[in-house]
Amino acid sequence: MTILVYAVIAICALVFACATIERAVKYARHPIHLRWELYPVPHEGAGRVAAMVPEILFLEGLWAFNRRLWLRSFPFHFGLYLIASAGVGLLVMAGVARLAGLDWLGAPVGQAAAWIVAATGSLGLVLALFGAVALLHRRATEPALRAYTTAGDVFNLVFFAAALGTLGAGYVTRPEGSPGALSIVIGLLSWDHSVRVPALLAAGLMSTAALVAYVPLTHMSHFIGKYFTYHAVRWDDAPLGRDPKMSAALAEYLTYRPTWAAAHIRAKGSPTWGEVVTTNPTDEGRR
Amino acid sequence: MTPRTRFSDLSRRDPERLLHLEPADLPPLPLDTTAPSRPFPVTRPIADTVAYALDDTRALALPNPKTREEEDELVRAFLSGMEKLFSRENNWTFLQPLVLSMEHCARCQTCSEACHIFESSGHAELYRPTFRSEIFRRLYFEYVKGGGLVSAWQHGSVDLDWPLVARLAELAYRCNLCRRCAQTCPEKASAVASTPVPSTAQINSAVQATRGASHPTRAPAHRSCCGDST
Repeated sequence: MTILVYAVIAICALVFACATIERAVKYARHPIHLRWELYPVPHEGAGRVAAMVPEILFLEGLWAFNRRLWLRSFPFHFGLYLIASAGVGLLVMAGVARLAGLDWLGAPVGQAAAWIVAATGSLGLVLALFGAVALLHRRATEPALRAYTTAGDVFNLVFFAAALGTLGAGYVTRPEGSPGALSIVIGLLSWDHSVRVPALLAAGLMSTAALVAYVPLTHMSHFIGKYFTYHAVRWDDAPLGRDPKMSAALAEYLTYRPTWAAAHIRAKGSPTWGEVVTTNPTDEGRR
Repeated sequence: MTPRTRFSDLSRRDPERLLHLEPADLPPLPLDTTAPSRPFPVTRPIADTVAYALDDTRALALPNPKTREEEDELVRAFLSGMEKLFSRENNWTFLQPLVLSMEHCARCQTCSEACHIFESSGHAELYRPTFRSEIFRRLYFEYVKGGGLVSAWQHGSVDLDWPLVARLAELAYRCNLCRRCAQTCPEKASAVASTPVPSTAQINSAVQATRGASHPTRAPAHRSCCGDST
């Protein structure tokens, strides 16, 4: 059972990394597009950070424009942040323990760190679980959302609730003397199969790992898409002419040959974009 | 009270409009209200030669195909145009925001209240900014991305036929590309994408672009500011 848990976590982490990279690379390789001209556009790093932090941490846009959904979506997302933070904290503690020895965990600083991580993870689980159920309820009861909700959307939220619920239940009900989260992470890093993971906690760990692998395969991977919608679509207003790479890219695009059938495009004869855009469609239409 | 239009209604083959609004359905305007109001225009029956009706207005005069073969050919042309929208060679100008809108809209409806057409209509579902974009998104996953049972389960599906294409093209003209939807989109794509993607507005311009491809001989010879097939 322990090896199975380790293997599922490792495989799912690999799937998450590969799927995230694949999606990010796909978007990054898209051609430069015409400006969408949405304002304001912060140009300095500080301005961007000032815009990003409240949006990422507190879903500022949803707070401003859809308060009723924010009440459900914010705890959900903030809970996930806390869970992820707790996960990173466990990895850091496990790493320190391997370097400094397990005695470090018994020292006051180690105990304080363990308490903070446990509190962070527990609060995150409660918030995310509440948010998932609340979002599911709203999707099921609000007509404007229900008509646009697919079976996959329902599954996604149920998956979150079930995985996180199982993880929380497994953690709370684990028998006395059984390994805690930190022991399991230390065991995972050293592939120690002598660690005995209780069955319910093992189920929670594996289902949560599967959830992590699943997210970047779906539209829920906002953490990828939103980077590009902000930095490449909303905020990129770099002027033409100052960047040789941009000039070279645009020169390449103008050699593409559109195949649109619409008469006003005048794509017959396979002209390039450069030729199309330097033709006056009105004059052409009068001939 | 405006009716709640469903996606499948766009495929209806009866001549009735999907939506009719009375002046009383519209919000009062800051004008001289003592003057007699003009009757709302266009209530004449739909001519047999004109494509399926959407509402009280018609921006396009798409002719109705006479045979199912002609319908199928137009639907194929629509799909061909749609595929071109997602190719760099034909739409490098808007490929990235369009794909982000397709793949990251959370359908949270935050953009709805930012749409003055949806708001002014008394929340007519037909004019909800995500209504047409959701149809377009489902077609994207089914026909551009390959579709399949898992895709339909994950993204939903719509029945593609000529009435839907004709009404969707007309519906694209119930958007004036103001991009308020993009401004409020939590994804900032969404309205470009959950990005707020310049999304919904982007999709509208994209649908307008496919109009040109699906009906090459009747497309108006103009180029819109964004998304026309140039």
